[in-house]
Amino acid sequence: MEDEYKKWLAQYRKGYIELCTLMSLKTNGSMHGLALIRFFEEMELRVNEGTLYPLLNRMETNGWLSSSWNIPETKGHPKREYEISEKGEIILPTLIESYELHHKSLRKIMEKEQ
Amino acid sequence: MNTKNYIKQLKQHLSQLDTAKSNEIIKEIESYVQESDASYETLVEKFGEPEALASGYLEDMPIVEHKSASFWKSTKKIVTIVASTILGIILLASYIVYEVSKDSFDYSKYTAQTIQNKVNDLWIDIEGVTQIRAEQAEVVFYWGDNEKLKYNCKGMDYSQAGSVFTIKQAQCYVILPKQTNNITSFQTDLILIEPKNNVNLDFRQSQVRIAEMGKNYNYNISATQSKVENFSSKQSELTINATVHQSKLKHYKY
Repeated sequence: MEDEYKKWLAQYRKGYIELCTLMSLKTNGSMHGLALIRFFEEMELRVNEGTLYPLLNRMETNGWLSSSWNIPETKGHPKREYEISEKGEIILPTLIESYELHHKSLRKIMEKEQ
Repeated sequence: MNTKNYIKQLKQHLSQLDTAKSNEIIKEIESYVQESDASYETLVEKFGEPEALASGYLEDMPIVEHKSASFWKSTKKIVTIVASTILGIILLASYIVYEVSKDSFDYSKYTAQTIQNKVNDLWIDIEGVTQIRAEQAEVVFYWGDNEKLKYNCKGMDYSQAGSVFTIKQAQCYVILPKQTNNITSFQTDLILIEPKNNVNLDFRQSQVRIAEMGKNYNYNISATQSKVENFSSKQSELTINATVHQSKLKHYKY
């Protein structure tokens, strides 16, 4: 039962986290992986690194994000910074609309049950 | 176990990706380690086991082709292209060799009379020839009933000196008179169509083809370092004496 739930959650969360990532980068500008994790935590969204990092990789391959290495001039280490791409900007409203439609439908179904 | 072990294991599990992509992922995880000062255990807790994390990356790649499969695929492609090209060149070369070496037509279908109509360029008559010498030439011989030798040549050099008619680096049709019975050749392609009198042949580094046209001949062949097809002697008034050295003696076939 627990395994089935985990599978469902993993599938459900993939799309949802992608949406949240696009939205976060649109709002905050460029961010690296760990900064995104911390931002999600602030927003009470728990996403672990093992889920987010491969997902960022896929989103970049899709063309929704672009990345570049930010190399500090003095101290620190290089960070891979992600930002929303033009393609990501175009798809984002469609994704939000789709999410809201599904959410609305689920609400209606739940109200019907009551 | 330390973070280096984690990175090393991850690298191994990502070996299916192309090197640039794999290096980028590794560099990003190393950056995470530096920023968060994570231990091996923390990495396992946050990212999962290296194998599981690698699976996450691999399943998220739209088209992941195994490096070795890709290598073999491209190698196979290159080998196929090279092999096809070589085969094509061999076939083309064979075709060119075949076309160049092929006889213009079936010489055995013609006689001393009809060949003159077939090859209707200028035919020249000469008298008193008893011997033919051919060097680096291509010559087709017919036997006629005239006292004169007739020839039709194209090429560098063909001339009479006394009783000897010499053909060098030329292509000739020659209709031999009855009295001409000595033919010598060097590096020449000779075709003898139905010899009608006794002949003495001396070939060096030549290819000689004889069209018997159903006639019987008595053969005396002396061959050294040569390839000689089976020419069986039969009871006949006509004798062919052949001294063959480093040459091929064959039946004529078109």
